[in-house]
Amino acid sequence: MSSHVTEIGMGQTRKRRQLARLAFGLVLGLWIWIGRRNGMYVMAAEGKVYFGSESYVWTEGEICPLGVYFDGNLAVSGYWVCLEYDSEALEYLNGADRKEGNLLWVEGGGGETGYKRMLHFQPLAEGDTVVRVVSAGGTGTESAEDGTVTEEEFTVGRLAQAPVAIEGKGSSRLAGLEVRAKEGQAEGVIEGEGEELAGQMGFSPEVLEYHMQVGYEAERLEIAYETEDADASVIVSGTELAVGENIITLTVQGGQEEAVVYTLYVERKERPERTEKTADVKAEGVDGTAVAGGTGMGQTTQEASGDGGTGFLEEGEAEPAAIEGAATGGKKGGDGEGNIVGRQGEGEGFDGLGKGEEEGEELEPELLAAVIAVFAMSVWYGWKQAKGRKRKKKPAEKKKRRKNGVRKTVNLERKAIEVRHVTMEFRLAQDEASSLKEYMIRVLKGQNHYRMLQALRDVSFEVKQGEVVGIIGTNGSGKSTLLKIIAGALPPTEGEVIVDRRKVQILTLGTGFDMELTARENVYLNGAIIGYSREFIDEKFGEIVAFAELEGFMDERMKNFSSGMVSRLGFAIATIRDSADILILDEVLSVGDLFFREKSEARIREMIHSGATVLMVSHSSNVIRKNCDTAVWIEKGALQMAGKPDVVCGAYEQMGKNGETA
Amino acid sequence: MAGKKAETGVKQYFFVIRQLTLREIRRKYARSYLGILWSVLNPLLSMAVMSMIFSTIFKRNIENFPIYYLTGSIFWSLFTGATNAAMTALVDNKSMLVKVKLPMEIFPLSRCFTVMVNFGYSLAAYAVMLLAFHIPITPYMLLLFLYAGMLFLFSLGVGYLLSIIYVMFGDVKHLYSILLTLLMYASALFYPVESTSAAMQAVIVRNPVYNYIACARKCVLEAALPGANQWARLFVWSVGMFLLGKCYFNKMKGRVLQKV
Repeated sequence: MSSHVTEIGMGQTRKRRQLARLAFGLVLGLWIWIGRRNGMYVMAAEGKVYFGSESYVWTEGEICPLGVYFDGNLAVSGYWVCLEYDSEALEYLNGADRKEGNLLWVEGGGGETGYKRMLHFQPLAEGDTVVRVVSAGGTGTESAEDGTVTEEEFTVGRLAQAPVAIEGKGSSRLAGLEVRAKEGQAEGVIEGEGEELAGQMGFSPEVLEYHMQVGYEAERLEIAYETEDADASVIVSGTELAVGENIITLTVQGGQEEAVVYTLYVERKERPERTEKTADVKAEGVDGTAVAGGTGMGQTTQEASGDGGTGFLEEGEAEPAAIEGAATGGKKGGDGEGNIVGRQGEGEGFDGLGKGEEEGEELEPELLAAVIAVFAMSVWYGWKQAKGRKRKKKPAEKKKRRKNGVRKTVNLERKAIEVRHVTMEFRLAQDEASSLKEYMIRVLKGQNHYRMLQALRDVSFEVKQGEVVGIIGTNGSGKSTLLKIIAGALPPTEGEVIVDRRKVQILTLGTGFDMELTARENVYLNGAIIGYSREFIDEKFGEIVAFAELEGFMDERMKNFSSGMVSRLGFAIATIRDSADILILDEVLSVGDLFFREKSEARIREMIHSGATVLMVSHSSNVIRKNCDTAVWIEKGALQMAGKPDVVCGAYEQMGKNGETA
Repeated sequence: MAGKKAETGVKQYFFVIRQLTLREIRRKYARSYLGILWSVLNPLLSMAVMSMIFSTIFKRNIENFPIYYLTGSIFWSLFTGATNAAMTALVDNKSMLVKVKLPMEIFPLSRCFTVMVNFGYSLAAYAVMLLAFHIPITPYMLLLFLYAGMLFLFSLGVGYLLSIIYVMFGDVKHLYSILLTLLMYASALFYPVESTSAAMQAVIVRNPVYNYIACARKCVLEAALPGANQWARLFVWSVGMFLLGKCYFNKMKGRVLQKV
């Protein structure tokens, strides 16, 4: 038959080729059909065993499912799978039909093409393990059209195996816990007798609550812990201790397990009574600690009390009572180490914040001496001050008396100012040490040479009461120095000035003005500086403003003022007062614009001619000529001439011209 | 008659000091919108920041560490502020010195008063902080004023000395700032004295400023009085230093006028 088809197929034409294909198909189909009918297997019955997943990640302690699949290419009438697992890593729970050692059998069947079985394991220990199929097999069935059922053994090709990684379950327990009162804060004593305490504080991972008592000085706890699971996190609610009961929680959060909360009930004692010194001493320095570990907890360490003894000896206060105290403290320390911290420097009383230092302490001899010295010094100083005041008063009175005497004899020729042989020397370092270092070097080398600058040389003159005296001279001739000496701001090197200083008034403009302040604030500031009382300024404020023509500007900052406005205000403040007996003017006669200048000059003239004694300084001879009764010419510190303004000013101008021509 | 005059003299004296002090205070905040409000706001805000820093970053095993620090800090700034301001008082006001018949000591004094007023504002802010940190308010806290007064006296004495020396040598300013740094670290501002060695403690306790700080802390945080030794130190330093400064000042003030 096949040869026939071949012949045709081998024949010619396209049609024949199509036929050949058809025939080939038929032959093939027939061959298969015949073959099957005769029970000959063309294809082997193949089974496949596999797990639900290529690999597994399981967590310690949890129930973990493992899916075992058996698929066949024929209907599976029966199958068996033998699995092997590591019984040290995994504990088999259920799902298999048979267990022998670490082998599990899964069996089944019933005509489906695939079967699935779930096995359950519980991983025991962290690590890697493997679950593998040791052997598997089964039978597949096929029913032919004619009703014959053929059965064939499956061959299982690849035996599946799956790596299993077992993760730690993440314990939420502590392995060890150590609680101690802060070192150096002393007195963190755990309450209770040794055994009792051991029972209380002996740490056990299962016990979740602990009670302890610490001394007042223990302001915080030191908590050290160790977790069972290295990755677990611990949250400590706080370590600071308030007086009274404190609840401190340690929340341990492991990986999978629920968080475990350990609670410490810590009672911090009340502040010890200060008067009970001995009690204080006993407690002091004992740093009670409660140490508890996962193992060996609750054992009393005897070193504790020994430590206590030496601690106190070091402290230098080793009274027998103290040692006793330390010993009991140590015992109280119980299972912990009674850690003694000698407080350094305590014995010397250095510690400002020292505890127990306060009451009944002895005053140190040096300090006592210092107190006495300072006390003596202050008494001496007070006495000197009082004496000084008296002395100051006396000459004034004397002067008055003398003046009165003068008045009696020369009634009209009263002297307001007497300048007698005044010499003023300034000591100027030759080339002044510009730094301390340089100065020290000079002092050491003895090189501190000074040049004496004679600002005034033996100047004498008199000013009668009511006289207007102008001092004239070129710049740097010593005019201002002379005024300062007369005003009493500078003490002369030699000679003296006889004047009633209380009557002297220097007219200064805008001294101490601060441009950042408002004009109003400056009026009070400047007024205070030049000697006005608050009441006086309050009273004259309107007048000052009106004279300075600054209405509406008073709450403005001075920095926004023009220079004219500033000087007007200064002038107004300075001249508002009632004219003093002796008035000293240092170049104040050129203020403001033209109109204000007229006004100010009028005011000055008014002051000058109010009967006051006036001493004015100017380097302009015109001003002197216009206003003064007498002129005094000072040149290079020496009095050149004194007399009628016209004469003196003429000579002064002559010198100027000579100087220019020379 | 003389008594009345002396009285008006004293009155005038304080009026001047008041005006000079007001000047310094007004001037400080002259350019800001909030003005004088800053004098409370500034310490309050900086204290808030400091207490935040000292309760988080520089945590220490000290109870109420921010308050521990702030107490020291306000007293320390009282001292440094007063001495630094007093130091330059004479030089800064030299024009006034020669022109006006004012007692010369008024200038360092008014500078110190200015700092004292600012200290008052800081105290207000400090009180807020005490409340914020739940520090119990006790009558012992009134002692703060006494300590501040004594520290003021001490600072004034130092200020008198420095103001004269500064006229003579401008370098003192720089030297003093270095000295202050040294003193600051020996004042246990932000660490407990107990944490240092015995030798260091001896140094710290001999630091005058530390005594005031320690006493202030004691009355605020422990509601306790200092011991007799402490009282003695407070007294000796404040009165002694004041007298020393004052005497030196009086002795030297004639020379100052020649120098400025």
